[in-house]
Amino acid sequence: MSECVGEGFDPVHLLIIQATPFCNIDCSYCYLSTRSETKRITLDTVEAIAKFLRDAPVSKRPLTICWHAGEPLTVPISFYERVFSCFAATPGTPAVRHTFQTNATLINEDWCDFFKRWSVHVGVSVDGPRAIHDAQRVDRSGRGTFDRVMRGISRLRQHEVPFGVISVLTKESLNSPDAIWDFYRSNGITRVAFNVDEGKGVHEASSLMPSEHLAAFRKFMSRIAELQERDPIIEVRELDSMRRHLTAPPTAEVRKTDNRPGAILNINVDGYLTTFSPELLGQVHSRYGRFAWGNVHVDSWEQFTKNAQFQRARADIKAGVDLCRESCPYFAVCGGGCPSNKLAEHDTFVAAETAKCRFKIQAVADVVLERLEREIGLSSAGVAN
Amino acid sequence: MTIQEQDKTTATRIRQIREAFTDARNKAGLKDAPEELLAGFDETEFDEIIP
Repeated sequence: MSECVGEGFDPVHLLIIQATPFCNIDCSYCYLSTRSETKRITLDTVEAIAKFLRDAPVSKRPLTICWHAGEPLTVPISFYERVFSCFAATPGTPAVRHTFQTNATLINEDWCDFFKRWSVHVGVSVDGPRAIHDAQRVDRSGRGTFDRVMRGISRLRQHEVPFGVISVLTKESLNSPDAIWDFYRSNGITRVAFNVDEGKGVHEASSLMPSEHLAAFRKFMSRIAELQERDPIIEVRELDSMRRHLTAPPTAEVRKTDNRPGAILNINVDGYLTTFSPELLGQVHSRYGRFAWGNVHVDSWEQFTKNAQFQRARADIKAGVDLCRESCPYFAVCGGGCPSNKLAEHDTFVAAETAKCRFKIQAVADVVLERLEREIGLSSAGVAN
Repeated sequence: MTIQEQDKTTATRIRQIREAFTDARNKAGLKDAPEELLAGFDETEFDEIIP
């Protein structure tokens, strides 16, 4: 495998592949415009991806492949068996590990066997107790999916398949940190990540506005931090990672994979590829054109890195990160905002703060910073400017 | 306090907490934390790693 990263490129840290854009449910906050399309990735495309990867520099082995951007479990197990074997058998392809981000409604005994056989990491999307979950995560008839998700989680537990969860926070869930925590505890969930309802893609309007909900979000995260202190067995991605960033050496900087060229590779069902925020793939923009900077069937890694539209987006994304560095006091613990959010909110990558920054970085940093200062006897009130 | 002053305070607080933890690690003879941190993609729940 070539180790030629390309000038200014990060090695690939995460490969996201869309097995199908189709999703069997219809969450109110979903940003994917193509979730009703039932096409599937072909084995030819997977073989082309495996060959494409031979020239791509990877950050560590095994490289993580996340099957996402559509419900991956709507594609049969037999297909994944062939696909996984293809990656393992293609000479020169880096070793990979597979992860699925799933709504869990289709998990049965066969899927559990498959997950174990291939050591697949499973991430389940579940928002908390029934009332919170079913308010947003509904099927195409508008019915809540809570019971079906919990059956899937129950099977994972019965078969001892390790899993974590992602919960999306809306304005309603911010009032219920204790109920959400109890839900995790009572269902054996020990790895948790919180996303916020964001306005992007076809979901243009978030239920969360910084002007109205930032204080409630901060209060929610503060309460979750208290609960985690009592119950440290549950890992919380946002709090744990912010602690690492805040206790790093003074000169440490965070590299945010969303805004680093090459760090995330995104490949859709037809083999088109981009880097940066996965949500960009397939979008069309007046300045940046279509976010598809190559196709694994016809382009090499080198051709992909020289794509003219990619170069334009890359220059603007870098300029946006530079703005973050110059203007944001949280830059050291963030690494710059997400390009897809900048584009959705500012219609350009050359921008700094977004609503997501204020929730996911600034408010979380405030909560963790205050707790750390208390822990070691540093008072924020006494900090000199 | 102006927004600029507030921002400066936040940046200062971040620097000070990092220095305090670095000092504590040094005093305890512990290996320092890595200089390079990686923040991952939001739609994966495991993606935050320190290389």
